[in-house]
Amino acid sequence: MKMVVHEQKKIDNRRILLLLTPSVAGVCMFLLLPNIDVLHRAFTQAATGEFVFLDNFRSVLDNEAFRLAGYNSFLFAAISLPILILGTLFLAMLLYEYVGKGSWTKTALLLPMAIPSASIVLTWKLLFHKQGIVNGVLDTIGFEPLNWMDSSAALWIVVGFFVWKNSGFYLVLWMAALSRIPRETMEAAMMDGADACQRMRFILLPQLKGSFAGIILLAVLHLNGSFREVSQVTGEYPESRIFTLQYLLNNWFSALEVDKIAAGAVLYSIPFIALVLLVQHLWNRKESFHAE
Amino acid sequence: MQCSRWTWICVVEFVLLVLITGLFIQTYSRVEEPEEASADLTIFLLTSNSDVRQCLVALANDTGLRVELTEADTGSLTDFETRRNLNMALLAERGPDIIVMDDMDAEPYRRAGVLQGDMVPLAQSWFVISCRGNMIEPSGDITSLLRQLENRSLRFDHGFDIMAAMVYRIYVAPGLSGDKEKDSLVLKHFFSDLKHMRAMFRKKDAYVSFWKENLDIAGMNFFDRVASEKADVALDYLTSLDQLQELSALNNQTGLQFSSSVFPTNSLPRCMMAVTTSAAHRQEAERYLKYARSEAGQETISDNGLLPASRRVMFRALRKRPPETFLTRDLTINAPRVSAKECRELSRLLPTKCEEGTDGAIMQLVMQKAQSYMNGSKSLTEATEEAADRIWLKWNE
Repeated sequence: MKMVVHEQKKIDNRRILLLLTPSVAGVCMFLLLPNIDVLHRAFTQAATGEFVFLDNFRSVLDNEAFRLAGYNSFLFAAISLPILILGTLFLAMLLYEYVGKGSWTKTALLLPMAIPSASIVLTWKLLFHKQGIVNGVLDTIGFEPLNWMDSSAALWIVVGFFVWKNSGFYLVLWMAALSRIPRETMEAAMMDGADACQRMRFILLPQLKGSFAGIILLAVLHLNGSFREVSQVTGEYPESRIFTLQYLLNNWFSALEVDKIAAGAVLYSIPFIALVLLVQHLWNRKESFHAE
Repeated sequence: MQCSRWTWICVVEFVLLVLITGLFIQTYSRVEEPEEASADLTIFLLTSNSDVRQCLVALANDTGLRVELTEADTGSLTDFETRRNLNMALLAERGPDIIVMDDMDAEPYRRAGVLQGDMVPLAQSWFVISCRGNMIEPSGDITSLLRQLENRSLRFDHGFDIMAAMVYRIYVAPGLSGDKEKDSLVLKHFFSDLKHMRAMFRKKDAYVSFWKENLDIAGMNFFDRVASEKADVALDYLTSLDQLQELSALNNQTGLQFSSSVFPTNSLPRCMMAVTTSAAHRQEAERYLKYARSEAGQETISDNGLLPASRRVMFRALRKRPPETFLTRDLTINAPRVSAKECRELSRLLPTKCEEGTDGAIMQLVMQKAQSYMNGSKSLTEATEEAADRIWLKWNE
């Protein structure tokens, strides 16, 4: 009997490996190898291929634009991620509580993802140009028009755009997580006299803990997703408060600063990798706690 | 049944693996020698210009090479996107054999080791100011120059763009340091002067615009307006021997004075060419450039409408030119053969050394902000501070 189980396990393992092979091969060829190449270039001089150890990193860290872009990227993430994650969570809980499954609201919130970049850019320009719609409205109510994308408001506009564009996707994720919570539990709580806030605090949120890690990771990885539209609105050199690392890496590539791009990309990836490892670690701890 | 299902999975996986591997090989491997080459030489140009194109093809014909020109601005891509695509091709070692570096900053390409050897201009443009009566005095700053120009009747048409570009190059660019406050101050003067200058220009011409490519200037000049007494001063670029011959004739026949010495920088290089290190046709590319720099190549360049970089060839070609009649808006100019004496005079005015080419990226940033100030969408302080901010970013990245 033991032999049969062992044999079956071996066959299963082989099947798993077989099914994973194309995906692993794809990841290796299109992600792992290019990343190894970037790592290699980060330690070498582009022109000669000579090994320069940490020189490229030093030159990147000494670069004032890199420091500014790094700070801006961090600030952008620190502002936009909580707004996106908590905002969509709150919205999803409201929808779950009051609206139900087949709502048009979800469809409406998903629409920004389906709008082509060119249309978004055009609308953005129409809205926030000096002679645009927003300034037109402000002018009629007696306020001074602003150069929105060249003012301190630019950061908030970019944050707003990022949240608006991605909220539908995260709302769907939260809704999927919420749908796993049995309705009966909520109904029982209602019967016991729990109000909406208590139901959210004591039933919904604890049950959503497991989805948090995945959603945070996805949101972090999505941080660069809005760059295309933003850069099309602002050009290569935007207002210095929204000059993020993507701009810098793009400009370096345009100037063929290969060593700097490679070192910058490695430095840029460190916080991401650290965050992924941290979330993974917390996730594993939670799993092992449940297993016990 | 189960076995057959797994066999199918294996077959599909095998096919997928083969496809992925094929794609990988296709992406990363470099074809050393194409089986059937469509051209012996590929040349990339960031800015398209018919005269330059004609010259490049003529040089290829002389050397017996089939050339393929890749022009960036014929499509819908921006300069930035085009450069990115070029860089991608260069890094993948599938780039052009020769790059024409006009309007591009060559330094990063040199540093990245994608250019082989020195970059030499094959042609040049010559900035000329012509006057009726007293010649404008060389001046150290734009304000005194403007004061001189203000009292004269001017003929510019597109000259405002040219002037703006020249003034930027001569008076503004050397003063920029990457320090936000200092740059903001320099730009404040520049933007105010530009606005003042535009007002002067508008007295004469209704149409005023910035040209995006300040070097891509059409082969038209307005010296005939000075010669026909419709203006006192004219500014323009000379880009061909035709124009040089015409100017010389105007000088002789109408007493028009012309000079290039008003501005310290007045000759701009054109057709800055360099062979790439990954050139698939390196020998052909080197042969092509060697020929283009030779006297025969420079003659081909002058025959095809550009001012060659070699002064000797330029003046020899100018002296060989037959008498010609130029029809302008106001005059019919009968230009005789240019004499040796006139050539010497021209040679005295002509700068001996071409300036280094730049990509004009900072100038473009500055001009965008200047334009937004002049069209009223930004105040002077806003425009200059934003420009200084962008310059700081560009300098520090």
